[in-house]
Amino acid sequence: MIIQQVIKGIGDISRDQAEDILYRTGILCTWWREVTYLPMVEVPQRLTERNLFWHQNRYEDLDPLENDQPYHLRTPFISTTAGTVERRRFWRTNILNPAWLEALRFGTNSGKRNAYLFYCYVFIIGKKAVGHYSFAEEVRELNIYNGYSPFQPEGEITAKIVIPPAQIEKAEFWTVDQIKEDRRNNRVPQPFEVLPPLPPNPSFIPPDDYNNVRKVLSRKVLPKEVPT
Amino acid sequence: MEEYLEALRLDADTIVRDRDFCADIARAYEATLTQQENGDMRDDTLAVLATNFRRAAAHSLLLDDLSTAQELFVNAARAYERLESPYALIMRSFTAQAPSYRPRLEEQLRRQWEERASRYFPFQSIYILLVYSIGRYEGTTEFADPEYMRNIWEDLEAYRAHPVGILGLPLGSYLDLIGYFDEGLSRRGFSIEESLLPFINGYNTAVRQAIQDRYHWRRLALPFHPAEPDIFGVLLLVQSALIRKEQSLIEVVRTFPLASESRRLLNGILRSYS
Repeated sequence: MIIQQVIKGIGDISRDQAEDILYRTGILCTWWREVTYLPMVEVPQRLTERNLFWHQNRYEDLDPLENDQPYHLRTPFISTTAGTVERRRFWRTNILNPAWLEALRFGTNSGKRNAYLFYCYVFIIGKKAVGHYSFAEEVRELNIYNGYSPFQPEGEITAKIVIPPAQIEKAEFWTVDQIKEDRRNNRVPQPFEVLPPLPPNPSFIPPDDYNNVRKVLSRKVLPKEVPT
Repeated sequence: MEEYLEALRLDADTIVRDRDFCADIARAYEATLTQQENGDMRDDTLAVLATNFRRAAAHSLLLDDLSTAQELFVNAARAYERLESPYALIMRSFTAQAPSYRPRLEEQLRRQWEERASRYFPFQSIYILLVYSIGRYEGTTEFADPEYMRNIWEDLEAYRAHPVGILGLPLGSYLDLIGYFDEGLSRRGFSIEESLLPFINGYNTAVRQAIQDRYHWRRLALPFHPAEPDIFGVLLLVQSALIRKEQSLIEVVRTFPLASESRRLLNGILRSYS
């Protein structure tokens, strides 16, 4: 089993909502948010290969199994990104995408809206385990070409049902204005604020005591850059 | 232009915004480089900025903004060159200026000769062979050592099945295309259509696959790009060589059965360079 660091970008939420996620509810799949109280008996029925395919490839399509509602309104899955973590991957594909940048681009819609980036970790078993909600699916490993697919967002890790607060280390608040300011001054964008303001998140359980923590590439480019 | 993008189920506003975002990110990372020492952090920085210049450039091709695309491809090429990646040559194929990478390339060739087993992956040499074989038709060559190229060719034959680039096309496809332009390297005698088929078919299949995922396609949130530099970089090299032979790549491609979206993209981008 591998503990994989991932980042989840969520746009247009308030600070209260971000704190709820960080300290109380965790990151919920849209299905849980839709129904408020999760019917556990339905979980196995929803964690299927078919639904995973729809989550990854037909996210906005109308789902005949859900009264032709857009699939994403009832997905039990949660998209996160680990970016490119293997440098060897760069020499094969000629591209390198850090997770923070992927999450920022998606969460802010390329700088169009404010967003929170949640830094989490998930458990990966190294094989397909769609029916197990404890384990995230490492999309890149499900495909051909050395575990890489040109048709899935780079480094996508699909969690299930919930990423609990125990697995969420912090949240960065990114604002459109701050991003614009950084871009104007030719600076690598920095978050406006980090939650919690003083580490650690009391709900967070560090994975440090565990083995096999696979990290994401840092935003840091200078040794002396102020850590966030 | 907006109608063209709409027909491809793409949104111009999204592309412009992401283009500018990626270009700014790349410039910001570039600004940090003077403060960097050698090592993994420097290489990661270069790789990220190269990736983002490349992406911004591809967006510009979609927007039919050729001058911006060329400027960004030059920036990408410089970043790949600093990484000593031969992929820089593919980036250069999009630019109006003659490649001024000879000193860097000579160093790369020397390193390849001395460090055959590699600082970088040996199959990246395929890009050197590609430019060498096409460049011969331009009257001059940056590569004055045919025997050395033969050695690279022989080495790469062992990697024929190896996937190359975003789409993972077999390296053998590149060798066969190279062989069409340089009969001294290969005696297989494929036609230009046969040589191009893996690239055109690979691209067409990718567009058809990617466009079905409307959510990610509209946001261009996939590694594969509709103006995929891996494909168009090769095609532009081929186009320039065919022009010298008074042939038209667009005419050659006309005979291939393609999805309408693929043909629209191919014709649009190739025409902007012809």
